[in-house]
Amino acid sequence: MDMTRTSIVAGLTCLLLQGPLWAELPYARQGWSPQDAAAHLLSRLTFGARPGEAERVAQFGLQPWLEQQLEDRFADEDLSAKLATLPEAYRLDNEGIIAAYPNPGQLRRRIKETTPGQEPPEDRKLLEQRRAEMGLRPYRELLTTLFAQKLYHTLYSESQVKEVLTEFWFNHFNVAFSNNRARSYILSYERDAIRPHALGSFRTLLEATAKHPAMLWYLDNATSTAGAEALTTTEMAMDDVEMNVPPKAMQRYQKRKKGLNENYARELMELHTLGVDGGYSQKDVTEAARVLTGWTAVPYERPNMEPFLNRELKFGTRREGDFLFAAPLHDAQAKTVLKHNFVAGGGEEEGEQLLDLLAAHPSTAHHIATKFAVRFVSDQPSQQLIEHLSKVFTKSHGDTKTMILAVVQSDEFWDPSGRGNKIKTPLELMVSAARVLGADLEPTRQIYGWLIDMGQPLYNYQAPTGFPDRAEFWISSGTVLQRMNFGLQATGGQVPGFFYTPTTFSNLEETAAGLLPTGWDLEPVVAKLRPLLDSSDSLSIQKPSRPNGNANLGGQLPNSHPQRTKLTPKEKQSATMIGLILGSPDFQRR
Amino acid sequence: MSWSRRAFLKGGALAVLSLGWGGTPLFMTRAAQAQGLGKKKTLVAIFQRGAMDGLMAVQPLSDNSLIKVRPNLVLPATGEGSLLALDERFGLHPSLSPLHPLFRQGQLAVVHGVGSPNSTRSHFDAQDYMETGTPGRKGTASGWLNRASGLLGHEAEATPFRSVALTQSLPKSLYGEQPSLAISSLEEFRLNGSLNANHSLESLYSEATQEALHRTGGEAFEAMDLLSTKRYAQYTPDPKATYPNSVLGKSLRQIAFLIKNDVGLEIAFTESNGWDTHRAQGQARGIFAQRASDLAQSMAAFWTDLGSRRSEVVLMTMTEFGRTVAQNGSGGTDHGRASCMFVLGESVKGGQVLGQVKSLDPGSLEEGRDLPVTTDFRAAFAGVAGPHLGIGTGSELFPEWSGTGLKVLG
Repeated sequence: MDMTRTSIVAGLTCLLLQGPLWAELPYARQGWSPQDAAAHLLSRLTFGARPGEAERVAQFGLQPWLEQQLEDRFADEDLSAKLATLPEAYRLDNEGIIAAYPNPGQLRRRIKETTPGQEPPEDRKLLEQRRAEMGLRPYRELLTTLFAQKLYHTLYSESQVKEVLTEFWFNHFNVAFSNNRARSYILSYERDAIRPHALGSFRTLLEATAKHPAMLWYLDNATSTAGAEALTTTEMAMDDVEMNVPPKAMQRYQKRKKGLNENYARELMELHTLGVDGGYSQKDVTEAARVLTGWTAVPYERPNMEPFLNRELKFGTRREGDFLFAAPLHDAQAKTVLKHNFVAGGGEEEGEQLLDLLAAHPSTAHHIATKFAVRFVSDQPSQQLIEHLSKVFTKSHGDTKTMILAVVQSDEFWDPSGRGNKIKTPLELMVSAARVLGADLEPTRQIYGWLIDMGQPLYNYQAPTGFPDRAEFWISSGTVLQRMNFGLQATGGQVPGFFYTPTTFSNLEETAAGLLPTGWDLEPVVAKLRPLLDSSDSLSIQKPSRPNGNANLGGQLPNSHPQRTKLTPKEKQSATMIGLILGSPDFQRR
Repeated sequence: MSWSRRAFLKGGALAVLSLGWGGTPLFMTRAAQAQGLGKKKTLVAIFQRGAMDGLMAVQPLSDNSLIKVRPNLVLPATGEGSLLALDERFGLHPSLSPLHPLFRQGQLAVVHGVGSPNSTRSHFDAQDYMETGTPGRKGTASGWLNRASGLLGHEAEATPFRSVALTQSLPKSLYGEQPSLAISSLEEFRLNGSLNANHSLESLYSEATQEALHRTGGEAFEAMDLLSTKRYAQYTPDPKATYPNSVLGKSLRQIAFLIKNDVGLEIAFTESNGWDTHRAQGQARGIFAQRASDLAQSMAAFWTDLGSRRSEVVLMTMTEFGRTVAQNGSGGTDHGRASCMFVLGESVKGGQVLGQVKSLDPGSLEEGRDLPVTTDFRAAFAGVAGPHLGIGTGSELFPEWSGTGLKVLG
C-alpha cells in the first residue's frame, strides 16, 4: 500500500522535474496579485476558503500549496477525529455491510433462512424489532453514515483537491440511491472505488467502478449474460481441456443464460469514456455488452453464499473482492468492438482489454478534457483549451494530477473575466458557508432537505449522467430563492445540523470582506446592504421554510431541532448581515 | 444592467426607484396588473424521462412475434391482468385503467409509432433533440415550448406565469428568450427574510453580473410577488380528484391550481421519471405497472380537478424513445426507437389510436430489433400545440422542418 503511494508521488515528482509541466502558474502576467490568485485557486479547487486562507496560501506560494495537495500526505487529524465518530458501517467492507445492515428485503429473507417455517413480520415496526433482536444494525444508520462521511470529508479534510476530484469523479461515474440494489454499496463505492483513485489514473478508476457492485447493479451489468445460443467460456474450456462439468450443472447454467442487458455497455461508452459523439454504433454497444457478459457481483445477499460460490469457482468463475467473473455466463464467441477483434474463447481479460481500448481512445481524451475544462474553468471553455487538455490526457495516460496541473497552468484558467463565473453546487454553497464561518455540519434530515430544495438530492441523481455542470441547471426561479433562504436561516440558527457560533464582525465592510473571496469588488454588496443596517425595521426571519427532508435518503436521517441560542441584538444583526451575504449573488459563485 | 421586468416597464421608471424602502410595495402594483388576465388556453406537457415502453403501454392485442420475443412481458387480451381493449388492434396496460374511460368518452387519443428521425439511443441526446425540437442538431439554444411561448402573439407582459415548469431545474423545452419559471413547490416559493432584508436581496440580484443569477433572480422575485396573493397551502382540489402523493401528482395538482387561479398560465411542463426499465419490467404488476399507475392516476385526477376549465386545456405526454421489441436478459427492455404518446382534451379527436404500427416481425423492425418510427414527433407536437394555442407550426416552431401537423385535434 505504502509502496504504491510512494511510487505515485515519486512518479509525479519525476514528471514535474522534467520541466515545463511544473512551470510557474501564469497568473501574474494577467494582472493577478498573489493573494487574489490564491483566492481564485481556492475557489476552484477546494470546497471554499477558510478565513485568511488566501493570504496564507499566497505567502506559502500557490505552487507549493498545489504540490502539497497533489501529494496528499496530510495528517488530517480533524477529519480522522470526525470519521472515528461514525458508526461501524464506515469501517466495514461490503460483505460486512450486507451482513450487519441488511435492507428490509434482505432482512426478511434472512429471517426465513434462520427460522424455517416462520414468516417474517409484515409490519415494519415488528420487522425492525426482529432486526434488533438478531443483533443487526438499523438500515438508516448505513445511509446516515454515507451522508455524514460526505459532509465530514468536504468540510474538514485538508486534502481539499482530492475531495473536489472525488466529487467530480463520483458524478462522472454516477450511481444513485434510487436503485435499491445499488443502494447498500454506495458507501463503499465512494470510499473504495472513487476516493483512493481520485487523484490517480483514469484507467484504474474506470476498472474500479466497472467492477464495483454499486455500478454493476446500478447499470444492470450484474444481470447481463450470454444469450441461450452462445457458447460460454466454460463450455469452450470444456472442449479444450478436460473440465469435468456434470450435465446437471450445464443445464442449470443453460437456464441462467438469459441474454444481454445493454445498459452498462452503452453508458460506459457514452458517458464514462468516448462521449456520445465519440464514434461508436449500436452494433458496438451490443458487442461491448457481449464482451462484458458474466461481469457480476458476489451475491452477499444470497442465503448460503459460500456453497454457491464454491460451486461456481469449480467452473472457471473467478472472484476478485466483491467482483465476480462468471465464466459459465460469459459469451466467449468472437466479437468486434470499434474495429478491435476479440477472438473466440476469451474470458475476463476481454472486459479489461475493452477498458484499455476505451481509456486510450482519442474520443475519451476529448470527452474527459471537456469535463475538466467545464468543471474548473468555464461553462463554455474554448476549443483550444479542450484540445490542449485532451493532448495532456493522452500523453499522461489519463493521469488526474497531470490534468489538474495542466488546467491551472493554462492561460484560460487565469483569464480575469472568468473570475467567479462558475456557480457553486448547493453542496459547495453549504460547505463553503460552513468553512468560512467555522460552522459544523451534521447529517440531519434538514441539511439533506436543504440540499434537495436547492436542487441537489445528494447521491440520488437518478440518471447516469450525474448532475449537469452548468449555471442554468443550478439556478432556477425556485432554487435561487431557496439559496437565499438557506443563507438567512442557517445564520439565524434555523437550520438544524448547521452548527454555527454567531460571529460578530464589527461592520458591514468587514463582513463582506470576511465572506467573499479576496479581490472581489465588494462595493456593490456593501452599498445595497448599508441602508438595511441603518433601518430600524426588524431583521427577524419570517416563518422559516420546512425543507423537503422526508424525500428519499432524507427520510432515513435523524430529525433534529434548531439551535436555541439566544442572540444578543448585535449578534442578531451580524447574523442577518452574514445571511444576506451568503444569500447574495456573489456567494453563489466560485 | 436592469431587469426586463415586464411589470416594471408597465409601472414606469418610478417603480424601479421605489425598490427598497418607502413607497408602494412592488408586489401590490404587480398583483393589481395581474388581475383580469383572462382565460387563456393552456398546454400541459409531461415528459416521461427514461423512455417509456410504448409497446407495453399500448400493446397490440395479439401479435405472434411479440409473444415470442417478450414472453415474460406480454399481456393477455383476456383473463386475469389482461389488456383493456382500445379498438380491435390495441389494448391499454391495466395500470393505465384510469385513462380508459377518458378514451371511451372520446377525450383521450393515443398516437403510436412516434419518435425521432434521428436514431440515437442515448437518453440524453434524444431528450435534448425532442426538447429543442431539432433532431440531430446539437446546441440549439431554445426549446420548442419556449418558441411556442414566443409565438403566442398577444401581449405577455402582465404575467411571469406564462410558461412554468413544475420542476427544480428549467427543462431544455423551456430554454430560450421567453421568460419561463421553474418551481417545484409553490408552497415553498417565498423568501423568509424581513421585508427589508428581502428587498435588499432583490436589489442585489437586480445588479448581479452573472447572467443566470441576474435573469433568474428577476423572474423569481416577480413571480413571488404575484403569487403572494394566492395561497397554494390553502388550495382544495375538487373532492373527486385523488392525486397520488407522487412527484407527478403534486406537480399536476399545482398546475391545476395555477390554471384555476388565472395567473395567465399558457404553457405548463412537468415530468415523470423512472421509465428506463432495463430490469424486471414486469407485466400487470412490476416496475412498469407502478410508473403507469402513477401516470394515469395523476392525469385522471388532474382532469377531474379542472372541472369546467377542461375546455381550455390540452395535456400531452412525450418520451425520448421506445424500447426494444424483445425482452433482454434481465426481464426488461433496452433502448429502442418508436414509442407512443397520449393526448387528452375536449378538443382532441379522442377514442382512437392514431399513427401506424406495422408488423412486429423481426424483418420489419428497425435494425432488426426496434419498432420503426412512423410519426415524426414534430408532426405530433405541432398537431397538438398548433391548433390548441393558435400558433403557427412552420419553421419558427421547428427549425429545418417542413412537415405538416398530425390531425390530433378536431
